[in-house]
Amino acid sequence: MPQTPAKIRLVDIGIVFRPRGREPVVACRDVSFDVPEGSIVSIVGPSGCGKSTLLNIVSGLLAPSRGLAEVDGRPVSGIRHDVGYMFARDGMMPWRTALQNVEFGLEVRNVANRREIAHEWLRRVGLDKFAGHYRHELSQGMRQRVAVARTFAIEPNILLMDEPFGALDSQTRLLLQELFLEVWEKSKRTVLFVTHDLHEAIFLSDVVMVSTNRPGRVKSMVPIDLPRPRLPPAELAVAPEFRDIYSRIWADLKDEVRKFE
Amino acid sequence: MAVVSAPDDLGLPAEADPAVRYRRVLIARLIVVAAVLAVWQATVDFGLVDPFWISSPVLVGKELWSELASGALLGDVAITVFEALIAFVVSSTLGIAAGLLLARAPFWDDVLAPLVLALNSLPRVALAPLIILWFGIGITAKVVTAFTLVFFILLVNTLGGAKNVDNDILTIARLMGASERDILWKVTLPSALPWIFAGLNLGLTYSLLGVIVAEILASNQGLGYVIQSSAATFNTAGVFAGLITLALVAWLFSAVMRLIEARLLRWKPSLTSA
Repeated sequence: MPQTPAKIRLVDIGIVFRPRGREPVVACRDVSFDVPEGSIVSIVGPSGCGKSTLLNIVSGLLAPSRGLAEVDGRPVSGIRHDVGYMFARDGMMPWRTALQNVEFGLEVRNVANRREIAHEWLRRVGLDKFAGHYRHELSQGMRQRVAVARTFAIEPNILLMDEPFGALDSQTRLLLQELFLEVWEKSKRTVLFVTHDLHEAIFLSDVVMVSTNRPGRVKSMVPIDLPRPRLPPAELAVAPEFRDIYSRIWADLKDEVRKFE
Repeated sequence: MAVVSAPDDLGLPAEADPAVRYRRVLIARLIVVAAVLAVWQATVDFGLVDPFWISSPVLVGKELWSELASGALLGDVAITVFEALIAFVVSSTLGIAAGLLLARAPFWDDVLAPLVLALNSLPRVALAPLIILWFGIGITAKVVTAFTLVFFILLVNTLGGAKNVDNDILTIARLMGASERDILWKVTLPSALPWIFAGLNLGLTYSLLGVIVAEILASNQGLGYVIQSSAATFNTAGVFAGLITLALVAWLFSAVMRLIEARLLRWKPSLTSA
Protein backbone atom coordinates (compact mmCIF):
# COMPACT_ATOMS: atom_id res chain seq x y z
CA MET A 1 0.00 0.00 0.00
CA PRO A 2 2.54 2.69 0.95
CA GLN A 3 3.78 4.23 -2.29
CA THR A 4 4.92 7.22 -0.28
CA PRO A 5 7.26 6.65 2.69
CA ALA A 6 5.67 6.35 6.13
CA LYS A 7 5.80 9.62 8.03
CA ILE A 8 4.35 8.06 11.15
CA ARG A 9 4.74 4.36 11.81
CA LEU A 10 3.21 2.39 14.65
CA VAL A 11 4.77 -1.01 15.28
CA ASP A 12 3.07 -3.57 17.55
CA ILE A 13 1.88 -0.96 19.99
CA GLY A 14 0.37 -2.30 23.19
CA ILE A 15 -0.87 -0.19 26.07
CA VAL A 16 -1.72 -1.41 29.53
CA PHE A 17 -3.05 0.98 32.16
CA ARG A 18 -2.58 -0.07 35.75
CA PRO A 19 -4.97 1.98 37.85
CA ARG A 20 -4.03 1.74 41.51
CA GLY A 21 -6.00 -0.92 43.36
CA ARG A 22 -7.86 -2.11 40.27
CA GLU A 23 -7.41 -4.63 37.50
CA PRO A 24 -4.99 -3.56 34.76
CA VAL A 25 -6.74 -2.41 31.60
CA VAL A 26 -5.40 -3.34 28.19
CA ALA A 27 -6.36 -0.36 26.07
CA CYS A 28 -4.91 -1.69 22.84
CA ARG A 29 -2.64 -4.43 21.58
CA ASP A 30 -0.60 -5.25 18.46
CA VAL A 31 -1.50 -2.03 16.72
CA SER A 32 0.61 -1.55 13.60
CA PHE A 33 -0.06 0.83 10.73
CA ASP A 34 1.58 3.58 8.74
CA VAL A 35 0.56 7.12 8.02
CA PRO A 36 2.14 7.97 4.67
CA GLU A 37 3.71 11.39 4.24
CA GLY A 38 1.17 14.06 3.33
CA SER A 39 -1.91 11.97 4.00
CA ILE A 40 -4.71 12.02 6.54
CA VAL A 41 -5.42 8.82 8.43
CA SER A 42 -8.39 8.65 10.77
CA ILE A 43 -8.91 6.24 13.61
CA VAL A 44 -12.50 5.30 14.37
CA GLY A 45 -13.60 2.85 17.00
CA PRO A 46 -15.71 2.33 20.10
CA SER A 47 -15.05 4.43 23.18
CA GLY A 48 -12.19 3.20 25.28
CA CYS A 49 -10.27 1.42 22.51
CA GLY A 50 -7.21 3.59 23.07
CA LYS A 51 -7.65 6.05 20.19
CA SER A 52 -6.48 9.12 22.07
CA THR A 53 -3.76 7.10 23.73
CA LEU A 54 -2.26 6.35 20.31
CA LEU A 55 -2.00 10.09 19.67
CA ASN A 56 -0.32 10.57 23.02
CA ILE A 57 2.22 7.92 22.09
CA VAL A 58 3.04 9.53 18.74
CA SER A 59 3.46 12.91 20.46
CA GLY A 60 5.74 11.36 23.08
CA LEU A 61 3.44 12.36 25.96
CA LEU A 62 3.11 8.68 26.85
CA ALA A 63 5.41 5.71 26.35
CA PRO A 64 3.75 2.55 25.04
CA SER A 65 3.85 -0.56 27.24
CA ARG A 66 5.00 -2.50 24.19
CA GLY A 67 5.99 -1.70 20.67
CA LEU A 68 7.31 1.42 19.08
CA ALA A 69 6.19 4.60 17.40
CA GLU A 70 8.33 6.23 14.73
CA VAL A 71 8.21 9.62 13.13
CA ASP A 72 10.43 10.23 10.10
CA GLY A 73 11.96 6.82 10.65
CA ARG A 74 13.18 7.66 14.14
CA PRO A 75 11.65 6.25 17.31
CA VAL A 76 9.66 8.63 19.46
CA SER A 77 11.28 9.05 22.86
CA GLY A 78 10.14 11.87 25.03
CA ILE A 79 7.82 14.73 24.28
CA ARG A 80 8.02 16.07 20.71
CA HIS A 81 8.14 19.75 19.94
CA ASP A 82 7.26 19.60 16.27
CA VAL A 83 3.67 18.46 16.67
CA GLY A 84 0.45 20.34 16.07
CA TYR A 85 -2.09 19.01 18.56
CA MET A 86 -5.80 19.74 18.76
CA PHE A 87 -8.42 18.47 21.21
CA ALA A 88 -12.17 18.84 21.49
CA ARG A 89 -11.44 21.44 24.15
CA ASP A 90 -9.93 24.51 22.57
CA GLY A 91 -7.00 24.95 25.00
CA MET A 92 -6.97 28.71 24.42
CA MET A 93 -5.10 30.75 26.99
CA PRO A 94 -7.82 33.00 28.40
CA TRP A 95 -5.30 35.69 29.32
CA ARG A 96 -4.21 36.09 25.70
CA THR A 97 -6.18 37.58 22.84
CA ALA A 98 -7.00 35.44 19.80
CA LEU A 99 -3.99 36.90 18.02
CA GLN A 100 -1.66 36.33 20.96
CA ASN A 101 -2.86 32.74 21.23
CA VAL A 102 -1.90 32.12 17.61
CA GLU A 103 1.41 33.85 18.28
CA PHE A 104 2.30 31.69 21.27
CA GLY A 105 3.93 28.83 19.38
CA LEU A 106 5.86 31.25 17.19
CA GLU A 107 6.94 33.21 20.24
CA VAL A 108 8.50 30.23 22.01
CA ARG A 109 10.26 29.38 18.73
CA ASN A 110 11.55 32.94 18.42
CA VAL A 111 10.03 33.52 15.00
CA ALA A 112 10.79 37.12 14.11
CA ASN A 113 7.71 38.16 12.12
CA ARG A 114 5.30 36.24 14.34
CA ARG A 115 2.73 39.01 14.46
CA GLU A 116 2.31 39.05 10.68
CA ILE A 117 2.16 35.27 10.50
CA ALA A 118 -0.43 35.13 13.27
CA HIS A 119 -2.50 37.82 11.55
CA GLU A 120 -2.34 35.93 8.29
CA TRP A 121 -3.55 32.73 9.97
CA LEU A 122 -6.39 34.49 11.73
CA ARG A 123 -7.41 35.84 8.34
CA ARG A 124 -7.35 32.37 6.82
CA VAL A 125 -9.69 31.02 9.50
CA GLY A 126 -11.94 34.05 9.06
CA LEU A 127 -11.23 35.72 12.39
CA ASP A 128 -9.24 38.79 11.33
CA LYS A 129 -11.87 41.02 12.92
CA PHE A 130 -11.54 39.20 16.24
CA ALA A 131 -7.78 39.44 16.69
CA GLY A 132 -8.11 41.46 19.90
CA HIS A 133 -10.84 39.35 21.47
CA TYR A 134 -10.32 37.23 24.56
CA ARG A 135 -11.53 33.66 24.89
CA HIS A 136 -14.72 34.52 26.77
CA GLU A 137 -15.67 36.92 24.00
CA LEU A 138 -15.58 34.18 21.33
CA SER A 139 -18.09 31.45 20.51
CA GLN A 140 -17.06 27.80 20.78
CA GLY A 141 -16.71 27.63 17.00
CA MET A 142 -14.49 30.72 16.94
CA ARG A 143 -12.30 29.29 19.70
CA GLN A 144 -11.81 26.16 17.66
CA ARG A 145 -10.92 28.32 14.65
CA VAL A 146 -8.27 29.98 16.77
CA ALA A 147 -7.02 26.50 17.66
CA VAL A 148 -6.80 25.62 13.96
CA ALA A 149 -4.85 28.82 13.27
CA ARG A 150 -2.58 28.24 16.26
CA THR A 151 -1.92 24.66 15.18
CA PHE A 152 -1.06 25.45 11.55
CA ALA A 153 0.83 28.68 12.30
CA ILE A 154 3.85 26.84 13.69
CA GLU A 155 4.06 24.74 10.51
CA PRO A 156 4.16 21.53 12.49
CA ASN A 157 5.91 18.48 11.17
CA ILE A 158 2.86 16.32 11.90
CA LEU A 159 -0.68 17.03 13.07
CA LEU A 160 -2.41 15.02 15.77
CA MET A 161 -6.11 15.69 16.08
CA ASP A 162 -8.12 14.27 18.96
CA GLU A 163 -11.77 14.80 18.04
CA PRO A 164 -11.03 18.47 17.44
CA PHE A 165 -14.57 19.28 16.34
CA GLY A 166 -16.31 16.92 18.73
CA ALA A 167 -17.63 19.61 21.06
CA LEU A 168 -19.18 21.75 18.33
CA ASP A 169 -22.79 21.87 17.20
CA SER A 170 -23.34 19.97 13.97
CA GLN A 171 -23.52 22.98 11.63
CA THR A 172 -20.41 24.57 13.02
CA ARG A 173 -18.68 21.21 12.83
CA LEU A 174 -19.40 20.96 9.09
CA LEU A 175 -17.96 24.44 8.54
CA LEU A 176 -14.85 23.68 10.56
CA GLN A 177 -14.26 20.38 8.76
CA GLU A 178 -14.42 22.24 5.48
CA LEU A 179 -12.11 24.94 6.77
CA PHE A 180 -9.67 22.37 8.07
CA LEU A 181 -9.42 20.62 4.69
CA GLU A 182 -9.09 23.92 2.89
CA VAL A 183 -6.17 24.90 5.09
CA TRP A 184 -4.69 21.42 4.91
CA GLU A 185 -4.78 21.35 1.08
CA LYS A 186 -2.26 24.20 1.01
CA SER A 187 0.41 22.44 3.05
CA LYS A 188 -0.52 18.73 2.94
CA ARG A 189 0.93 17.94 6.32
CA THR A 190 0.67 14.42 7.66
CA VAL A 191 -2.35 14.05 9.93
CA LEU A 192 -3.43 11.39 12.38
CA PHE A 193 -7.04 12.09 13.25
CA VAL A 194 -9.17 10.49 15.95
CA THR A 195 -12.94 10.78 15.72
CA HIS A 196 -16.25 9.20 16.64
CA ASP A 197 -17.87 10.71 13.62
CA LEU A 198 -17.82 8.38 10.63
CA HIS A 199 -18.86 11.13 8.22
CA GLU A 200 -15.99 13.24 9.42
CA ALA A 201 -13.51 10.39 9.07
CA ILE A 202 -14.55 9.66 5.47
CA PHE A 203 -14.77 13.29 4.46
CA LEU A 204 -11.28 14.12 5.67
CA SER A 205 -9.21 10.99 5.29
CA ASP A 206 -7.17 9.08 2.78
CA VAL A 207 -7.42 5.99 4.94
CA VAL A 208 -9.76 5.11 7.79
CA MET A 209 -8.43 2.75 10.42
CA VAL A 210 -11.26 0.89 12.14
CA SER A 211 -10.32 -0.23 15.60
CA THR A 212 -11.85 -3.17 17.43
CA ASN A 213 -13.50 -2.90 20.80
CA ARG A 214 -11.12 -2.88 23.79
CA PRO A 215 -8.41 -4.06 23.65
CA GLY A 216 -8.16 -2.01 20.46
CA ARG A 217 -6.67 -3.73 17.44
CA VAL A 218 -6.63 -2.83 13.77
CA LYS A 219 -9.84 -4.30 12.43
CA SER A 220 -9.47 -2.86 8.94
CA MET A 221 -7.72 -0.14 6.99
CA VAL A 222 -10.21 1.30 4.51
CA PRO A 223 -8.81 3.48 1.73
CA ILE A 224 -11.03 6.44 0.83
CA ASP A 225 -10.69 6.86 -2.93
CA LEU A 226 -12.62 10.07 -3.23
CA PRO A 227 -10.97 12.77 -5.36
CA ARG A 228 -9.38 15.77 -3.70
CA PRO A 229 -10.15 18.54 -3.18
CA ARG A 230 -13.21 16.98 -1.63
CA LEU A 231 -16.75 18.25 -1.99
CA PRO A 232 -18.13 20.09 1.04
CA PRO A 233 -19.21 17.53 3.66
CA ALA A 234 -22.93 18.20 3.27
CA GLU A 235 -22.75 17.54 -0.50
CA LEU A 236 -20.37 14.64 -0.23
CA ALA A 237 -22.64 12.88 2.24
CA VAL A 238 -25.29 12.31 -0.42
CA ALA A 239 -22.90 11.07 -3.14
CA PRO A 240 -23.30 7.33 -3.92
CA GLU A 241 -19.53 6.60 -3.61
CA PHE A 242 -19.61 8.09 -0.16
CA ARG A 243 -22.52 5.89 0.86
CA ASP A 244 -20.75 2.76 -0.35
CA ILE A 245 -17.71 3.55 1.75
CA TYR A 246 -19.87 4.52 4.68
CA SER A 247 -21.74 1.22 4.68
CA ARG A 248 -18.53 -0.71 4.36
CA ILE A 249 -16.91 0.97 7.36
CA TRP A 250 -20.11 0.89 9.36
CA ALA A 251 -20.38 -2.86 8.75
CA ASP A 252 -16.93 -3.27 10.33
CA LEU A 253 -17.58 -0.86 13.14
CA LYS A 254 -21.11 -1.96 14.03
CA ASP A 255 -20.06 -5.28 15.54
CA GLU A 256 -17.40 -3.62 17.63
CA VAL A 257 -19.69 -0.92 18.94
CA ARG A 258 -22.34 -3.55 19.64
CA LYS A 259 -19.91 -5.57 21.75
CA PHE A 260 -19.24 -2.44 23.68
CA GLU A 261 -22.94 -1.81 24.26
CA MET B 1 -51.05 30.05 28.02
CA ALA B 2 -50.36 33.68 27.30
CA VAL B 3 -47.26 34.56 25.33
CA VAL B 4 -44.76 36.41 27.47
CA SER B 5 -44.90 40.10 26.71
CA ALA B 6 -42.15 41.78 24.74
CA PRO B 7 -39.41 43.54 26.73
CA ASP B 8 -40.96 46.92 25.86
CA ASP B 9 -44.09 46.01 27.73
CA LEU B 10 -42.18 45.18 30.87
CA GLY B 11 -41.85 48.91 31.48
CA LEU B 12 -38.21 48.71 32.48
CA PRO B 13 -37.62 51.21 35.27
CA ALA B 14 -35.04 53.96 35.13
CA GLU B 15 -32.73 51.79 37.26
CA ALA B 16 -31.84 49.85 34.13
CA ASP B 17 -29.67 52.80 33.09
CA PRO B 18 -26.32 52.19 34.83
CA ALA B 19 -25.47 55.90 35.06
CA VAL B 20 -28.74 56.68 36.79
CA ARG B 21 -28.34 53.72 39.09
CA TYR B 22 -24.79 54.72 39.99
CA ARG B 23 -25.90 58.23 40.89
CA ARG B 24 -28.64 56.84 43.12
CA VAL B 25 -26.16 54.56 44.86
CA LEU B 26 -23.85 57.53 45.51
CA ILE B 27 -26.66 59.66 46.92
CA ALA B 28 -27.93 56.84 49.14
CA ARG B 29 -24.37 56.25 50.36
CA LEU B 30 -23.99 59.90 51.35
CA ILE B 31 -27.33 59.77 53.15
CA VAL B 32 -26.24 56.71 55.14
CA VAL B 33 -22.99 58.41 56.20
CA ALA B 34 -24.81 61.65 57.07
CA ALA B 35 -27.39 59.71 59.10
CA VAL B 36 -24.72 57.90 61.12
CA LEU B 37 -22.93 61.18 61.82
CA ALA B 38 -26.23 62.88 62.76
CA VAL B 39 -27.20 60.13 65.19
CA TRP B 40 -23.71 60.22 66.71
CA GLN B 41 -23.84 64.02 67.12
CA ALA B 42 -27.40 63.91 68.48
CA THR B 43 -26.49 61.22 71.02
CA VAL B 44 -23.90 63.59 72.46
CA ASP B 45 -25.94 66.81 72.05
CA PHE B 46 -28.97 65.39 73.86
CA GLY B 47 -26.71 64.22 76.65
CA LEU B 48 -27.36 60.49 76.15
CA VAL B 49 -23.65 59.64 76.27
CA ASP B 50 -20.80 61.72 77.61
CA PRO B 51 -18.53 62.93 74.74
CA PHE B 52 -15.62 61.78 76.91
CA TRP B 53 -16.42 58.22 75.73
CA ILE B 54 -17.50 58.65 72.16
CA SER B 55 -16.40 62.18 71.28
CA SER B 56 -18.60 63.68 68.53
CA PRO B 57 -18.36 64.37 64.79
CA VAL B 58 -17.77 68.04 65.45
CA LEU B 59 -15.01 67.39 67.98
CA VAL B 60 -13.37 64.82 65.71
CA GLY B 61 -13.57 67.27 62.80
CA LYS B 62 -11.87 69.95 64.87
CA GLU B 63 -9.19 67.49 66.01
CA LEU B 64 -8.55 66.34 62.41
CA TRP B 65 -8.32 69.94 61.24
CA SER B 66 -5.86 71.01 63.89
CA GLU B 67 -3.69 67.94 63.38
CA LEU B 68 -3.72 68.48 59.64
CA ALA B 69 -2.92 72.17 60.06
CA SER B 70 0.04 71.43 62.31
CA GLY B 71 1.31 68.86 59.79
CA ALA B 72 1.75 66.25 62.50
CA LEU B 73 -0.88 63.89 61.12
CA LEU B 74 0.57 63.86 57.60
CA GLY B 75 3.95 62.87 59.03
CA ASP B 76 2.38 59.94 60.87
CA VAL B 77 0.41 58.90 57.78
CA ALA B 78 3.59 59.00 55.72
CA ILE B 79 5.42 56.77 58.23
CA THR B 80 2.62 54.20 58.36
CA VAL B 81 2.13 54.16 54.59
CA PHE B 82 5.87 53.84 54.05
CA GLU B 83 6.17 50.91 56.47
CA ALA B 84 3.11 49.17 55.06
CA LEU B 85 4.26 49.54 51.46
CA ILE B 86 7.77 48.25 52.19
CA ALA B 87 6.31 45.28 54.05
CA PHE B 88 3.81 44.68 51.25
CA VAL B 89 6.35 44.77 48.42
CA VAL B 90 8.97 42.66 50.18
CA SER B 91 6.52 40.05 51.52
CA SER B 92 4.57 39.78 48.27
CA THR B 93 7.65 39.42 46.10
CA LEU B 94 9.13 36.73 48.33
CA GLY B 95 5.75 35.05 48.86
CA ILE B 96 5.03 34.84 45.12
CA ALA B 97 8.55 33.59 44.39
CA ALA B 98 8.28 30.94 47.12
CA GLY B 99 4.87 29.85 45.80
CA LEU B 100 6.18 29.45 42.25
CA LEU B 101 9.24 27.56 43.50
CA LEU B 102 7.18 25.16 45.60
CA ALA B 103 4.85 24.55 42.67
CA ARG B 104 7.86 23.34 40.70
CA ALA B 105 9.20 21.21 43.54
CA PRO B 106 6.39 18.88 44.61
CA PHE B 107 8.73 17.07 47.01
CA TRP B 108 9.40 20.21 49.04
CA ASP B 109 5.77 21.17 48.75
CA ASP B 110 4.90 17.89 50.50
CA VAL B 111 7.61 18.41 53.10
CA LEU B 112 6.65 21.99 53.91
CA ALA B 113 2.87 21.98 53.44
CA PRO B 114 1.92 21.10 57.06
CA LEU B 115 4.54 23.49 58.44
CA VAL B 116 3.24 26.32 56.31
CA LEU B 117 -0.28 25.48 57.43
CA ALA B 118 0.77 25.50 61.09
CA LEU B 119 2.60 28.81 60.77
CA ASN B 120 -0.25 30.29 58.78
CA SER B 121 -2.78 29.24 61.43
CA LEU B 122 -0.79 30.81 64.25
CA PRO B 123 -2.20 34.24 65.19
CA ARG B 124 0.90 36.12 64.04
CA VAL B 125 0.03 39.17 66.11
CA ALA B 126 1.19 37.07 69.05
CA LEU B 127 4.67 37.24 67.56
CA ALA B 128 4.73 41.03 67.69
CA PRO B 129 6.16 41.31 71.23
CA LEU B 130 9.01 38.97 70.30
CA ILE B 131 9.66 40.83 67.06
CA ILE B 132 9.77 44.14 68.94
CA LEU B 133 12.18 42.59 71.41
CA TRP B 134 14.44 41.57 68.54
CA PHE B 135 14.18 44.57 66.26
CA GLY B 136 13.36 47.45 68.60
CA ILE B 137 10.80 50.17 68.01
CA GLY B 138 12.00 51.28 64.56
CA ILE B 139 10.62 50.56 61.12
CA THR B 140 12.17 47.06 60.92
CA ALA B 141 9.93 45.63 63.64
CA LYS B 142 6.82 46.90 61.82
CA VAL B 143 7.91 45.49 58.49
CA VAL B 144 8.79 42.12 60.02
CA THR B 145 5.45 41.88 61.86
CA ALA B 146 3.56 42.56 58.63
CA PHE B 147 5.86 40.17 56.77
CA THR B 148 4.87 37.23 58.97
CA LEU B 149 1.27 37.80 57.86
CA VAL B 150 1.60 38.76 54.22
CA PHE B 151 4.32 36.35 53.09
CA PHE B 152 2.21 33.28 53.85
CA ILE B 153 -0.91 34.69 52.24
CA LEU B 154 0.95 35.21 48.98
CA LEU B 155 2.77 31.90 49.24
CA VAL B 156 -0.41 29.91 49.72
CA ASN B 157 -2.36 31.74 47.02
CA THR B 158 0.41 31.64 44.42
CA LEU B 159 1.02 27.96 45.08
CA GLY B 160 -2.70 27.25 44.71
CA GLY B 161 -2.85 29.15 41.43
CA ALA B 162 0.33 27.61 40.05
CA LYS B 163 -0.92 24.10 40.79
CA ASN B 164 -4.22 24.78 39.06
CA VAL B 165 -3.00 25.50 35.56
CA ASP B 166 -5.24 24.00 32.90
CA ASN B 167 -3.71 20.71 31.75
CA ASP B 168 -4.78 21.20 28.13
CA ILE B 169 -2.96 24.49 27.97
CA LEU B 170 0.17 22.98 29.52
CA THR B 171 0.15 20.06 27.08
CA ILE B 172 -0.35 22.26 24.05
CA ALA B 173 2.33 24.71 25.19
CA ARG B 174 4.84 21.89 25.69
CA LEU B 175 4.06 20.26 22.34
CA MET B 176 4.51 23.61 20.63
CA GLY B 177 8.03 23.75 22.00
CA ALA B 178 7.70 25.91 25.12
CA SER B 179 10.69 25.54 27.45
CA GLU B 180 10.24 25.21 31.22
CA ARG B 181 11.07 28.87 31.42
CA ASP B 182 8.40 29.77 28.86
CA ILE B 183 5.94 27.65 30.81
CA LEU B 184 6.73 29.54 34.01
CA TRP B 185 6.50 33.05 32.58
CA LYS B 186 3.97 32.63 29.82
CA VAL B 187 1.66 29.95 31.25
CA THR B 188 1.93 29.38 35.01
CA LEU B 189 2.31 32.99 36.07
CA PRO B 190 -0.49 34.52 33.97
CA SER B 191 -2.74 31.58 34.79
CA ALA B 192 -2.11 32.03 38.52
CA LEU B 193 -2.55 35.80 38.33
CA PRO B 194 -6.18 35.89 39.53
CA TRP B 195 -5.14 33.85 42.58
CA ILE B 196 -2.13 36.06 43.15
CA PHE B 197 -4.29 39.16 42.99
CA ALA B 198 -6.72 37.73 45.49
CA GLY B 199 -3.65 37.29 47.72
CA LEU B 200 -2.36 40.78 47.01
CA ASN B 201 -5.68 42.37 47.92
CA LEU B 202 -5.70 40.51 51.20
CA GLY B 203 -1.97 41.09 51.68
CA LEU B 204 -2.33 44.85 51.41
CA THR B 205 -4.93 44.89 54.19
CA TYR B 206 -2.76 42.64 56.31
CA SER B 207 0.41 44.66 55.83
CA LEU B 208 -1.45 47.65 57.18
CA LEU B 209 -2.76 45.53 60.04
CA GLY B 210 0.70 44.19 60.93
CA VAL B 211 2.25 47.62 60.85
CA ILE B 212 -0.50 49.21 62.95
CA VAL B 213 -0.37 46.47 65.58
CA ALA B 214 3.40 46.88 65.92
CA GLU B 215 2.99 50.66 66.14
CA ILE B 216 0.37 50.34 68.85
CA LEU B 217 2.60 48.00 70.85
CA ALA B 218 5.82 49.96 70.62
CA SER B 219 6.44 53.10 68.66
CA ASN B 220 6.80 56.84 68.82
CA GLN B 221 5.39 57.62 65.39
CA GLY B 222 2.79 56.45 62.87
CA LEU B 223 -0.98 56.16 62.90
CA GLY B 224 -0.97 53.25 65.36
CA TYR B 225 1.02 55.38 67.74
CA VAL B 226 -1.41 58.32 67.28
CA ILE B 227 -4.36 56.08 68.16
CA GLN B 228 -2.60 54.47 71.09
CA SER B 229 -1.22 57.68 72.59
CA SER B 230 -4.53 59.53 72.15
CA ALA B 231 -6.35 56.78 74.02
CA ALA B 232 -3.67 56.79 76.72
CA THR B 233 -4.35 60.52 77.30
CA PHE B 234 -8.16 60.07 77.17
CA ASN B 235 -8.29 62.05 73.92
CA THR B 236 -11.24 60.19 72.30
CA ALA B 237 -11.45 62.71 69.46
CA GLY B 238 -7.79 61.96 68.70
CA VAL B 239 -8.50 58.21 68.58
CA PHE B 240 -11.38 58.72 66.16
CA ALA B 241 -9.31 61.11 64.05
CA GLY B 242 -6.62 58.41 63.81
CA LEU B 243 -9.16 55.71 62.97
CA ILE B 244 -10.80 57.78 60.24
CA THR B 245 -7.43 58.59 58.69
CA LEU B 246 -6.51 54.92 58.84
CA ALA B 247 -9.77 53.95 57.14
CA LEU B 248 -9.04 56.48 54.39
CA VAL B 249 -5.54 55.10 53.87
CA ALA B 250 -6.85 51.53 53.73
CA TRP B 251 -9.56 52.52 51.27
CA LEU B 252 -7.03 54.31 49.06
CA PHE B 253 -4.78 51.26 49.10
CA SER B 254 -7.51 48.93 47.95
CA ALA B 255 -8.76 51.39 45.33
CA VAL B 256 -5.31 51.55 43.74
CA MET B 257 -5.06 47.78 43.94
CA ARG B 258 -8.40 47.35 42.19
CA LEU B 259 -7.24 49.65 39.39
CA ILE B 260 -4.09 47.60 38.84
CA GLU B 261 -6.06 44.39 39.00
CA ALA B 262 -8.63 45.58 36.47
CA ARG B 263 -5.81 46.49 34.13
CA LEU B 264 -3.85 43.23 34.45
CA LEU B 265 -6.86 40.92 34.58
CA ARG B 266 -8.94 42.57 31.89
CA TRP B 267 -9.16 39.17 30.20
CA LYS B 268 -11.34 37.95 33.07
CA PRO B 269 -15.02 38.06 32.10
CA SER B 270 -16.26 39.31 35.47
CA LEU B 271 -13.84 42.23 35.52
CA THR B 272 -14.35 43.43 31.97
CA SER B 273 -18.09 43.49 32.35
CA ALA B 274 -17.93 45.36 35.64
